Amino acid sequence: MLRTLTAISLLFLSSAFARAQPGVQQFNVDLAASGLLPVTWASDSPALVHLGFDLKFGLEYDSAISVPVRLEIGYIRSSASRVSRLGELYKAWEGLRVDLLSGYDFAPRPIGRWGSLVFGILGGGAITAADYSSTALAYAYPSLILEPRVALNQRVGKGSAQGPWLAAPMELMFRAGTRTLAPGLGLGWRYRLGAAF
Amino acid sequence: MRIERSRGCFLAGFLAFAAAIASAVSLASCAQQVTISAPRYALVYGVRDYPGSLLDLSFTVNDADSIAELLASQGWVVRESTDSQATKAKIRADIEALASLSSDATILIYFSGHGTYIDPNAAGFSGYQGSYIVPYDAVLAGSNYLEPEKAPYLISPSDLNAWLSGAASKNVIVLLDCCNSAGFAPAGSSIDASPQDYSQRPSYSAFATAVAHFGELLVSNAAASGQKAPIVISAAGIDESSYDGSDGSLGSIVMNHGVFTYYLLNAGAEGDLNGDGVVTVTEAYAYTEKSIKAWYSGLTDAQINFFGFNAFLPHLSGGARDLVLFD
Repeated sequence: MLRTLTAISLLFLSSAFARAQPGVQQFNVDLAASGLLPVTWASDSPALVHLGFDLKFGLEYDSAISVPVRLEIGYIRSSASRVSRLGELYKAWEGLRVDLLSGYDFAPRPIGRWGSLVFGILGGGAITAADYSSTALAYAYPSLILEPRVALNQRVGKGSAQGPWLAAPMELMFRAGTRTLAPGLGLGWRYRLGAAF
Repeated sequence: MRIERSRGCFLAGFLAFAAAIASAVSLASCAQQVTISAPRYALVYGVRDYPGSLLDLSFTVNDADSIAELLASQGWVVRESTDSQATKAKIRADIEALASLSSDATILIYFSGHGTYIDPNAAGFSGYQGSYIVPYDAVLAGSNYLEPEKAPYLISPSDLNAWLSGAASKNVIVLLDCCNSAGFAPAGSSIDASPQDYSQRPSYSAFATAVAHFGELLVSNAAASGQKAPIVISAAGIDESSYDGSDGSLGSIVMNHGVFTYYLLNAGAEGDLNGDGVVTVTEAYAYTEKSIKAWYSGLTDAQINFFGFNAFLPHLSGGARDLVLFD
């Protein structure tokens, strides 16, 4: 599974960098927070809901062909799950994560004086170093991510822009013999260097 | 100006959004009204009076009595065996009798008594290695050591798992108040950052351990099966002795129980860390671990040296699953 993740990431990276045109490279930095609603299950255990959140710092490279490549470092935390009627539940956890994403940004849609809206969709993987909260147990897990998003770009000066963005990430985590599907809603702010509208 | 104003509004909104999410996570479990409908069965063992008098303990039967009483008060069906009743054959028969229970049942096994660790090179113990529970009949009268001829009467983690394998229910909790018992609490695909000898080795946080052993943990994670395994709290690490209790002469707390069980009993009343009205195995572990650390840090060096007493910490088995222990 790790090899698949690596291969997918390398494919996106190579396509983005190989086809980007010199001189129009654009970098974004951003900060985002997401609310998560993880659902964990295992082969012979029930599916139970947690509540969680993550905070991420992102660095994104936009190529000239609307294929962004994105690196994130973040912190994720989840509560213990709800308790089943049989008294089963899944532990709370928290972790430090690194995400690598790529995808496609559609053409900007001008919205008058507000700037422009950019819809996009990203996919990729993450690896997380974690512990079960209130225990001494350390573990790590990989995950797959699919993230539709929309960003509002506002020009703030020559060659730069900024604006909020909204994302609806969906993450599938492969955690210690369980699976966790974590849909979320994220809000972020990004500062774009070298913007061209 | 417009952009600065919108940036300010966004920043306020962003902070409110993040705070709302964090608050929701903190309050998530509190909102749930938990009602457990599973049938619950507990096998409780305490051995104080071993054959002869050289290996007798002080408070282990008190431990078993109090645990049995607490569980019974919460609706568990409890079968308690103490001293000469707590033999290997009896414990095996009790566990194997659980095979008739429904798959919905929760099973709890508690043992307070001696535990031991057999080194791979221990003379006379060929074929024996690791952590063992010492039931009543594993001690030879007149000896203050484990004798090789009694080794077949010890209970190993694989014995316990084999006996439990016939049970339809896989929701099993094992609580062990005995020395060297962490061998019963495997970390699975995790790394247990709590040292096996707390008095000799530095303790790193679980999070630092996760970062330091990241690659190794990813490989272990990929190999995790997800099959249900017993959820275990051991009183002590593989290289540690758990303390049989304080009657007031060690520290200022009068326990009349083993130290681990004393705090485990308190966890029933005080261990609900997230306020949802139940105490899970993980919460009970967290409460006892924190309490034992606090108790130990309150001892003077003179007290520790006088009793030849070493520090110990409980250990929790690995995996994402958890079960309600007290409600």
